[in-house]
Amino acid sequence: MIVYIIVLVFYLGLLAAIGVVMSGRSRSVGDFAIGGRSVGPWVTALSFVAAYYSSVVIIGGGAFGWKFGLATLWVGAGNVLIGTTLAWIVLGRRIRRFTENLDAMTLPGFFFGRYGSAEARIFSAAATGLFLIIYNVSVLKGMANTFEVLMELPYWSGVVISGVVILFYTAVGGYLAVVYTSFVQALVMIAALVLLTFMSLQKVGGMTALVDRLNSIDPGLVNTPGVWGWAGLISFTLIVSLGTWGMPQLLVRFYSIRSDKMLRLGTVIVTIGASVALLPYLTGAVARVLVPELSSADQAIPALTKLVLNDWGGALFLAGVVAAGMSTFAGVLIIISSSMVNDVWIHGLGRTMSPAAELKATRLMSLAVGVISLLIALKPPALVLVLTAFSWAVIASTNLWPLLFGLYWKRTSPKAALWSMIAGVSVALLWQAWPRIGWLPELPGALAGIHSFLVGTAVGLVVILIGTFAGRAAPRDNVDRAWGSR
Amino acid sequence: MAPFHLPWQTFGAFLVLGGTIILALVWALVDRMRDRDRESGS
Repeated sequence: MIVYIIVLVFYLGLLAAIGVVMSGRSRSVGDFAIGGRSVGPWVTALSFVAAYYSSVVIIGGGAFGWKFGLATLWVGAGNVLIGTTLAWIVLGRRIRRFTENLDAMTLPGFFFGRYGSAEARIFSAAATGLFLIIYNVSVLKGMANTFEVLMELPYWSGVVISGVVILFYTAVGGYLAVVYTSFVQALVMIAALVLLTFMSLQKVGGMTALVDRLNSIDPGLVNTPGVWGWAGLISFTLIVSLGTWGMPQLLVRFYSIRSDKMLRLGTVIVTIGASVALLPYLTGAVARVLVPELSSADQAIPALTKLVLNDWGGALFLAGVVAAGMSTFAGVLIIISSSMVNDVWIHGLGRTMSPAAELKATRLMSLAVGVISLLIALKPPALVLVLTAFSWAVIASTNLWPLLFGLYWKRTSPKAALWSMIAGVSVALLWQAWPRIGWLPELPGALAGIHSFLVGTAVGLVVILIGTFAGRAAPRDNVDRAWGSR
Repeated sequence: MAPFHLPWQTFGAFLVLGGTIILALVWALVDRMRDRDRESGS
């Protein structure tokens, strides 16, 4: 236990110190929200990896590997190809250029600049803000559960320890503290995952022995799609990969990189860094061989950690899981606070503020949102727990098409973007709630199995296409400014 | 049978990962050449 405490105190102290150092560099809202567009490619790329893979992915990925076997490696491969590399290639350069041309610091701010639609700005900020808070609760809960299992601490202390440190460095140091701590967190997370994979493969006798032993338990744990089936495997891979294309806490990394040329090196670094996505699934499959008797699949990774790592290794792994959660949580806090103050308060409600007052308000908002998330996470109400399961789907359904079309198709109309957001969110929510609404007819089995994200985005796509052909294009001035042609 | 006694359909995940790293490298090179052409043309 003492080893865990030493590693954690050192690690959390380092993060807080980064917050203090970076506080001197956050002199304006632009610095606080997007680091004054001054971040280099290494920090941008690795902080993207840290924000993408939360503790939920590590613990949950291991659980999937334990339950469904090696076919889950495809989820990790999808995370790297679709969720990371293609996102950087397709979105990165255009987002960097457009947000600079439009002087936008937030995703709702981009929608306003690109489409000239105040409604799209407010709707995106409100829907994304609300569901990001809910998403943050699930991230905090994941971290606290890890503290519970590995350190045998009560749940509430895990929430408080991780929550307070994140709140401190985020409110003090702003975006720069978030990206630099995320950079450190990515290195810790990658080291922890590589160590656990290496040690657990050694324990099981190597990769070939793992495959043979899984085969003897059930050949479905080795084959693709195996015991999971194509529908489950493909839809889950798409949700956790394509979903990143609409997640503002990931997209903000493109706004803040120093120049769009740096995205080239960034794309190579982020692809290599994101490759660790396969490791939780692989170690989950190892856990199926080494710790086959578990009351819940979520215990696969913590139980494997206890079995194959000594105290120092276990402490590093705990730090890695906590790192994954903290970087995600902190990234989300910055997004919500800058969006609430800039998009909702100033532009939505038409309040004027001096730059200094806006910076102060954004800092305070990040504290307030963090405290609210923390309080909810201490004892999450049943409804919040239900919502956390698909908060990611709702956020991605809101932003995905208006962003992609806004970057590539000048003709896309403001009304189409707005209605695509509304339809995406509403359909995703309705689809999720459908089985719980008594008076609605029961969906056939094949339809009921489709995830709300896929339904929400499919409807959002149809709406934005129809709306664009039927509606009026965005004002010429906005389009020209976005493309930098005036 | 693919390496490690894996079926090819499962081993394909590692191939996709390798292909993705190559894609990132090729894209970075092509993008750099495109930028150089643009700069020398302007």
